[in-house]
Amino acid sequence: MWVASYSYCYSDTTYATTNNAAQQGLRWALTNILPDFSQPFMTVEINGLNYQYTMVKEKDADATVTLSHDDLANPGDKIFENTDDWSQLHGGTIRKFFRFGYTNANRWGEGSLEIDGEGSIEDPYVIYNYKMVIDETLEKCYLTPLADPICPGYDDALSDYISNLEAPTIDDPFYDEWVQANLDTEAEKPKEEEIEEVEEEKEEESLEEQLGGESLEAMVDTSEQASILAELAQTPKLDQYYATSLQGGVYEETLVLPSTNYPDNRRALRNLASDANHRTMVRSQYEQ
Amino acid sequence: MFRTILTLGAIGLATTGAWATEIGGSVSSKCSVFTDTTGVYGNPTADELSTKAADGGIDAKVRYDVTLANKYTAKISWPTSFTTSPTLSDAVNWDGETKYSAGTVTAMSGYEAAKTEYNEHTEFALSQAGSTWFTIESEAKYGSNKAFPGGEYKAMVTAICVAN
Repeated sequence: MWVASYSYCYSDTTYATTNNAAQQGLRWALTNILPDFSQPFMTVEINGLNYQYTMVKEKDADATVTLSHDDLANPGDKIFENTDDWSQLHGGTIRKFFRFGYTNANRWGEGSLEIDGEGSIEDPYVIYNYKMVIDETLEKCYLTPLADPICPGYDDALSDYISNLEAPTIDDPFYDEWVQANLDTEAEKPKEEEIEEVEEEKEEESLEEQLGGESLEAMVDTSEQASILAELAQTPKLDQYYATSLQGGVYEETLVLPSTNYPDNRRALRNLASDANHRTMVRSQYEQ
Repeated sequence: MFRTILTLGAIGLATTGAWATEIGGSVSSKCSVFTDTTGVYGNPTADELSTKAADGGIDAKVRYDVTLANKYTAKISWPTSFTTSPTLSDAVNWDGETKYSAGTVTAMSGYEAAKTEYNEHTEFALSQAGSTWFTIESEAKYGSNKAFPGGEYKAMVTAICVAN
């Protein structure tokens, strides 16, 4: 059985040369002249070193000049070291080129040009050839795990992001994910009808349990029914109710209307002149 | 610069059962010369052209790559005529100097002290294997304080490798 897995990695590779490392002196750190390779998405590897300097000395004097770099992976060792022996030689300019396998710049410690003997160095010039690889996917993920679904921690970051979204607009880059998440949440919730059905089923089950699956007699408490009927049969109470009498009398007319002419309400008549109002009034009688 | 190709062969006569084969080989030069910097004339005064930096020019520079020590001599000549120039009606006085500039071996620093000069030529015994850079300085003065006529001027440096 074959199991194939695929992964995609986008990287940008640059081959370049540094500026003069010895411009400021005979000791230097590569971190000052190489790109910032401390970033986790960037790798810098050195594969070449060129140097030149002019040795000023008397021919009869003995002197050596050593260019070296500490090996940070192996303290006490040198990752690069080359010595020029100027003993009993005229001073002059020397220019050298070195090429070697790619070694991570993290290993390259402080560099230096050191003289052992009589003489001095003028116009030192040290440059490095290097390869810089930027993993663009890692670079994106380094900035934010939300940059790409393949980023480590993408799911958690997306979950946090969506949960903090209150009212996203359609312009939001994760609007679709937000909608989908809400749909998923809705899908997980039981529907009201389903809830009602379940509740009804529970009630039925509960009733059946109460009934215990027995006859109607089990459902009705006959003694209680009998007592209710007995109470209803107590007619004396009803008699008392019927026997109650109210104090009566004659209530005389107290309102006296003077005999005069009462004119029609013309405004009301004008209102009623409209068929629509009339119909409304008529219909209103049936609407109550 | 030398480049020699030798073909050596042994051919059998056409007899039954005989066969022929060829042995080939090539010899490439162990001394190569390259232009490192093309010189530029400056014009410090009306009657002078010079490659000195102080005169606004750039010295020419050549590189010798030698893979065998003590087998070659570098012979470098500064120019004594223009290869390109406006019509000149008077004589040009030429001067120049060839100096050791840099090398890939410390012992090459002795080339300068050991060089031989005659006329416009300078010879360096290439006693070390490696690369050596030589700087060629050139000056041209026109007539009796006459101004050089306007136009383009070019001159040629000759650098050759002579087998010992």
